[in-house]
Amino acid sequence: MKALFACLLFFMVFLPSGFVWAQGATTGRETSVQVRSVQADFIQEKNLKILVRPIISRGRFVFQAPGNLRWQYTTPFHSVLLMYGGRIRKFTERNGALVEEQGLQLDAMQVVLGEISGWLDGRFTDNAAFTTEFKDEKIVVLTPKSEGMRSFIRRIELKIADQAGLLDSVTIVEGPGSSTRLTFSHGVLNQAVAESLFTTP
Amino acid sequence: MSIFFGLLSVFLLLGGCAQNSGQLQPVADKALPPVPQEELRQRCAAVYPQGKWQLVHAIEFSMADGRSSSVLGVTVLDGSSLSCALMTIEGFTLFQARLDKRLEVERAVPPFDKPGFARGLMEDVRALFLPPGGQVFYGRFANGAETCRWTEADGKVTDVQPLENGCYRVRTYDAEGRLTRTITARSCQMVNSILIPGELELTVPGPAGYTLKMTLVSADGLTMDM
Repeated sequence: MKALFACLLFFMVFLPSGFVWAQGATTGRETSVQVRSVQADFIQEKNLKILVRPIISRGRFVFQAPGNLRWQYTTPFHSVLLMYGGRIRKFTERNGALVEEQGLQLDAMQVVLGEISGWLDGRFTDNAAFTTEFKDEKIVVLTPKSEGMRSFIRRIELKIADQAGLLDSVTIVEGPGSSTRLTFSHGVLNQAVAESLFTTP
Repeated sequence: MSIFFGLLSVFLLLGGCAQNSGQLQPVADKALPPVPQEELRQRCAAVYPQGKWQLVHAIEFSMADGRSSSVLGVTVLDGSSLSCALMTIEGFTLFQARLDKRLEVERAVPPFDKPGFARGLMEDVRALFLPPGGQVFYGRFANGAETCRWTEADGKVTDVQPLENGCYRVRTYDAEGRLTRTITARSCQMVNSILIPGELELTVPGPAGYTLKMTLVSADGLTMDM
């Protein structure tokens, strides 16, 4: 169960961390963006071997260093994950209202949050969870070190945007024929963000 | 948590107040007027998609102890075979399996890897989307409501009851006549002679029971080879 929630949280937190990683210190690019906040729209395309047509979801996220996150889906239905001050809450739409989900194992999530602090510092080459391979200046491939996590996630591919501090896309490969691709647009870096975005669904 | 427990309790109580109290009800009192069998056959047949379909639902599941969560469910139907997957809204695949002549689990992450989960889930999916086996009988309950009753060789019974609102209710029973599952369809639309519900609610009664509330995200009739 812990592994599951760790993976779930990983999906949530990986992306904004990736934005920070793309600062360039470990990609060889000489950029020096201090990421204080990131906002972007995303399109999520889920592919499975059994699917003839992929499942498309859309949403928007807001990240504020060092660890506040709002990850919001607007279609096909509403869902919001909030991380604020180390606390994680998830809300999903039921009968037209956003209702907080119960029973999430937050202890496992806290563990993963510990991992993130390293990523936030741009130290993803010496991250305990992943080995890192730079395909080229734009493509980074992360492979889980532990066999347990590899059974859930084979690898993660980051495509770094031209603008320092942003990503074009993240592809999470779960296995043969199963992947999730997040493509970002309208990215905004270091714009002031209201705290309430991380506390109110 | 108490909300979902309350909802589940209310749901079960309402079920108890209706014509069915958890035991199989007799059908076909000879004193009742005859059923227009062909029309009833067509209405019951429309409950189960024919051909190839890809259905995506947002699924809210709540346990009897009040815990609840939401996932996306994908069902791909192709004749008598079906494939299904459960995934988080964020795209993480929790469970994937295929049921043809036998059940083949392709992915199951904890806690969805527990013994019995796959078979139970696929039984639910089968009850939702595949027509029952065995002999079918078209008749009426004592209160006059029409039903299509399938009786399988092992004694299991499935009642499909078309409702006045254009939707339907399905109840399944074990060989001893005990209610094992109730499916209520709402907000139905006819698509290519198939009744596609906007909402499905499946309840398994008992202390270890649960309720699945499924909201349709997309329904695609597939004509291409898979």
